[in-house]
Amino acid sequence: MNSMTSVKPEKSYEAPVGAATLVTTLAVLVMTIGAELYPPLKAWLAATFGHHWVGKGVISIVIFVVVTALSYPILTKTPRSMASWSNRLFAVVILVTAIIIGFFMYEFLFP
Amino acid sequence: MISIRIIRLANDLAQEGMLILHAMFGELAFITFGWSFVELMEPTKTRIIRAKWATLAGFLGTVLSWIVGGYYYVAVYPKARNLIRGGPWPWGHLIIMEAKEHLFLIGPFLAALLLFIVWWKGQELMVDNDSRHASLVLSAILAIGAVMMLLMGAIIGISERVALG
Repeated sequence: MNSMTSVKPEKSYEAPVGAATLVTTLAVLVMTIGAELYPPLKAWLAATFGHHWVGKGVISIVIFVVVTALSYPILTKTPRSMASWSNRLFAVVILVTAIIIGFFMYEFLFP
Repeated sequence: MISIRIIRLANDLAQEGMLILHAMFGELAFITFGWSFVELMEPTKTRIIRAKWATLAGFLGTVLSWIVGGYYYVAVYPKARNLIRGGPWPWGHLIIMEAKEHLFLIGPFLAALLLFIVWWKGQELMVDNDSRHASLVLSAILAIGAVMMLLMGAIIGISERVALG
């Protein structure tokens, strides 16, 4: 690989995987809060996958694969800045972490 | 009877040993993501090769910790959960475990993305600052996340112990 002359890639092959990671992170948040606030969803996950947590894991993998495949033709067309994009992902992960911990703290303190 | 003792020992290891493996794979992930962060700060050809293997080990550690921890959580943990919920630190399950089990689900995908970027870009990371920045951010998130998981796991363990009196 000629590393010194290929500063920018022609296509951003990492962009679809990045988009899939972002969407999966948000999906984990939605499934977590959704299953707690809407018991039929938790019951469906448990009945379908044997355990609600296993169901969330399986659905996360499916979302990751599907979003990667669907966004591949769109996001690989042009080069994209991975720096600003990764900063956004970092912010989303921090936000999702704070929301999930905050949600369970709220549920514990105000049952 | 020695045979019964051996069976009990194997059974104990099969159950509680899963927890040890879960933590060990998590520690492997923490070390290797921290390692890849350091290697990518000032990347050279050799450092990028080391970063590649570090991210691969970190990804495998994360996935194996997920599988082993998942088995433990579904098959063995319910007994401890009931104990913790009825003990003096019920928040050990109701806040810490509930948050941990769900936040953990994000880790393997972040690790897969880091693995993809580092292996795909390879030597280009020496000149492509955008991708290097992304790799550093992901390594940092994953290393910090792994420490957080270890800390939460320790709190859950203590919650069980205080429940036993």
